[in-house]
Amino acid sequence: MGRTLPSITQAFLEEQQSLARFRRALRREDQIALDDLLAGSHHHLAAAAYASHLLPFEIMLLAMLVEEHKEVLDLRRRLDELTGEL
Amino acid sequence: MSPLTVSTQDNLAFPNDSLSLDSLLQPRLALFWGSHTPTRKLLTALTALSARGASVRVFDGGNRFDGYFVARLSRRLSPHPEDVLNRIRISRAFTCFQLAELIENSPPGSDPVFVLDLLSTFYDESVPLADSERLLDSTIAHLRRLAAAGPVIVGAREPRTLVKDRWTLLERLQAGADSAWLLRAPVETVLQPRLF
Amino acid sequence: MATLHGWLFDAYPSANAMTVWLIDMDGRAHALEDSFAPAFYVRGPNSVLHDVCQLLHSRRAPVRLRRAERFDLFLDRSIEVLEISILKPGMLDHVFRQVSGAYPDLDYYDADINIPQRYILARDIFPLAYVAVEHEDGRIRSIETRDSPWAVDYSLPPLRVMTLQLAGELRNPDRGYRADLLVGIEDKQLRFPRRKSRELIHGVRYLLERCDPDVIVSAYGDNFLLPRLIELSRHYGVPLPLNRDPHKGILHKRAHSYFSYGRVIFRNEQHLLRGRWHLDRQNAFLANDYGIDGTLEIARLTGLPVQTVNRVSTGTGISAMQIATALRRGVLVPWKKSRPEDLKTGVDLITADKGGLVYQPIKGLHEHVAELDFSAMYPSIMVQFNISPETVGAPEGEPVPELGTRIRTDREGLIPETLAPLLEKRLRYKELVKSLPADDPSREAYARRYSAHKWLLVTCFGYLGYKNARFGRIEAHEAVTAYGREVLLQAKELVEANGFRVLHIYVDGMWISKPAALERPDYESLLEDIQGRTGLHINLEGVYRWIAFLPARGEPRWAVANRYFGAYEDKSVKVRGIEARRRDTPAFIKQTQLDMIDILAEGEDIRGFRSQVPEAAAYAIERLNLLRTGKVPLKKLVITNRLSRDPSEFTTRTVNALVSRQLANRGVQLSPGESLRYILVPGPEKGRPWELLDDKEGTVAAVPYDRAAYTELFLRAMESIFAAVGVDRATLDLWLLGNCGYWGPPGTLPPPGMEGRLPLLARESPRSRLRLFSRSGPAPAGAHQRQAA
Repeated sequence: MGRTLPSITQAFLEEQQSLARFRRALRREDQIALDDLLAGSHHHLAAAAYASHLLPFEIMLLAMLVEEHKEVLDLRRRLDELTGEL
Repeated sequence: MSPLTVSTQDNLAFPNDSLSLDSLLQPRLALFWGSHTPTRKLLTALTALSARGASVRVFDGGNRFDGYFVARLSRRLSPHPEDVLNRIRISRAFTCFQLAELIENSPPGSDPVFVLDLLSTFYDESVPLADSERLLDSTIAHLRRLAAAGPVIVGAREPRTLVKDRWTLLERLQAGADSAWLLRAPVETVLQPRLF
Repeated sequence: MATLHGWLFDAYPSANAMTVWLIDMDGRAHALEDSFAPAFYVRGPNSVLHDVCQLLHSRRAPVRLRRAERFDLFLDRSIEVLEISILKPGMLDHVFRQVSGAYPDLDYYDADINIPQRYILARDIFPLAYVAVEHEDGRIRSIETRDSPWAVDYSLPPLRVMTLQLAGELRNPDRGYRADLLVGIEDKQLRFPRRKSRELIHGVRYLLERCDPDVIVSAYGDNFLLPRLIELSRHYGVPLPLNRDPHKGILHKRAHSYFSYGRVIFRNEQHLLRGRWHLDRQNAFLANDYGIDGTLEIARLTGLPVQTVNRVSTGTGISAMQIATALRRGVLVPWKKSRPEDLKTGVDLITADKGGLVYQPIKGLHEHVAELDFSAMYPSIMVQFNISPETVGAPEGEPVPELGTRIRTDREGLIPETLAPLLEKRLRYKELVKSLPADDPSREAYARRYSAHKWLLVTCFGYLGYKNARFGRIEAHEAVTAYGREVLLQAKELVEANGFRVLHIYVDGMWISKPAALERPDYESLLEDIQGRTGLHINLEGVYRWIAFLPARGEPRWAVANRYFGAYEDKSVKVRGIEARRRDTPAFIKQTQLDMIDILAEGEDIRGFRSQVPEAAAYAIERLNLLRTGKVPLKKLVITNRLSRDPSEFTTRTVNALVSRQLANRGVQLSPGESLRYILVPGPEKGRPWELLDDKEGTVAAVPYDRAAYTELFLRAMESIFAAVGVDRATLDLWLLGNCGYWGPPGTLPPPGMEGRLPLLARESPRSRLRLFSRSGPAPAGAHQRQAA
């Protein structure tokens, strides 16, 4: 059956596009960081779709946060390895 | 049938314009049409009405109900977007027979009824034109029945070039409506810079 | 009275009855007549029904009228209807149109069902059943069979086959290709020069009369050969007995295009014969996948005539099976009418309108990965949870996960009743194919029948909610996808609880890995647990030596759901989404990609993969050189594209537009949805239609192809492969075009942490450059992860 709702990918893309002016005014190095965050949210599209949350933007932020935190956990782990503590 | 009113508007300001919204709430059959069906405008209107407390019925004839758009708008218009969405009831029809049946079986009420993209399924080439016309006549009669009790707002588009003989369907709909508004797409579109 | 034993070969309406053809053990064809009075039903106010009866009487229609009670599926009760039985079955359509034209507002049922299918259903037989017929004076008295469509093993009639095609490369004569006619019969092939059309038509007539074939297999028979032969027959006044039945004309269906789910589909014209089958290989639905064996199996199962099965999608077949179930149950099959969706709230719509779970895979190369698939998931769900248009949305029953809609379980639904035996038979074929040795002659036939079953089941889901489905209901469709998601998530939970990492999930399959799990036995108990929890059958499709989940083209940061390639333990490969699996890719490039994957498949794990990269690159260089020196045969460079619109609507000078214009200039009319086949050529022409490349009869002219354009396509295909190890286009160009590399011979990978793109001298120290994180998550020990410095 042809789906009615836009796909979650499209919904995320629309949210990204609504941030275009914010991004434009950022400094270049900040734009790169924002792009990374947005790219990160992409990893959780399936869960976002399943969630059927009314506001995709909220889920997108959460997804970005999850990716950010994974990075923190990874860095922590590597730091621990480096300093010899477990 | 009332005389045909055709107007052109480049940008109908729906959400914040109480005057336009109130005028929509008259019991009558209002048609909004264009080269593309004006679904966004209708979704905006119906969301605004639901945010104000109305229970809205939506018959979707073109698989166009963008739930996320409605949810985003509900959030802007109300602190309880879920309630707004719960007051909107949708039924989708994928053939003109389904759409006709939907409208035929609908009980009249004072709450607004929106029909999204009424004509797409009637334009379907696999349905003989005579059948489409007959079905549409019956559908229009039922829409008028509903319009006697409450506002009925219909969106429709022109037929594509491949289906030239189907213009008669749009004409019938225009004739059957109390008012018909032609909506032209805005000439310039604001270019959003690409994100990546 | 005599008895005849044979196979049911053909059945169609004659002037007053049904003509039934049988083929006996000796291969002789027999034609008999059988009376048959199919009925359609009308519902409406009594006074109007009375008028309908008056109308029929006044027109002296050959009908029998009576009141009847039949079951309406959606009302869930019997209703009173007027039964109009047509005594001359061929007239049903005509009578129906008269009544429905005069009284369009009444409800009609059983009005547009395939007549041959109705006949065989009424007689409780099926196409190619082995039957015993009692007959007298050419009329059937009784017809019986002990054969069953559910039999896995069955005998087929001896059939005489005649082939018809044009000489030379297989090209579409509708696009202007012309050549001599080749007629094949009994291992001999006869050639009729096309300039001698009188001899040609006499020759074909002679062969038809002399050999009396049961089946004519043609290439482009539907759209060219048969119409041309018929034209010639008229022109020269030579009767052409294409039909075995001299009293009937050939059934001709016109070509047409239509929109379906946003795409244009083109259905070619058809020429169906009587008493004989005409099968057009070029107009067949997926004949390559399941061939004649599969086609005959589908005919036996669906009850549709073989010539029809050959040309329609398996979706039509499934639809026919649903209708058969309905007819057997005495359920009315609505004409045109279908139940629209019940009103649901905006929140419910957002929750329900989802498809299957589609994950973004963890990008890159992984080793020792298991692929788990639920077999025939959606049909199995329909059967397991009793999902059917009439069972969904009941006041009582099992609640669907996420949606809460209730499914009644007190009665078997129409759809589960139709699908359950199909699922079971499919499983039996699967096991047979597995158990037979590779050289067993019947293995091939079973494999094709199995393939036919897979296709039938794959298309059944779409037809559940499809707008033209008789019994379609979107709520049923939504319930199925909801169960699909639930089942996958339950499996995921079990898998993760067992220490596996989930790499990817795609609707009905998942890819998982765990450092310790390397072989099949490691997964046995997991499969059992999943089956126990979900109630559905799950398979270990295979364990990959390695599998590469590829990034999107132009967006290297994340992987795309259906784009990967991998090698199983036995070195067989699975490829999805890249050029080798795309319809428009030229054969040369497809083959190159597949060969390279085979080379890489020699590697047993990630390290093995990386060590095979130089060899794969060397092979790619060889192939690229062939391409760039103009040595690739044109046949291997044909690009196939579908016309999305009428050629007159093209506004820009795309290759499609230019090629269609060339064909149009030769008088070829193209419809939207038709395929274009062409070669890319240098210059403003850009492309040349494949069918117009001729210097003499049957030989493709040596036209120079656009080496630069094909090189670009080639390199893009190479990019898809090497993206697995993070090699970008710039590095690839160095390897393949420059035949060199910075870290050693072409194909040597840069060490981990090295930015592949930068030339040696331009590399800066890591600290001064902005750090770009790669976003593929913390890696498990041992898995390769590309890192940028």
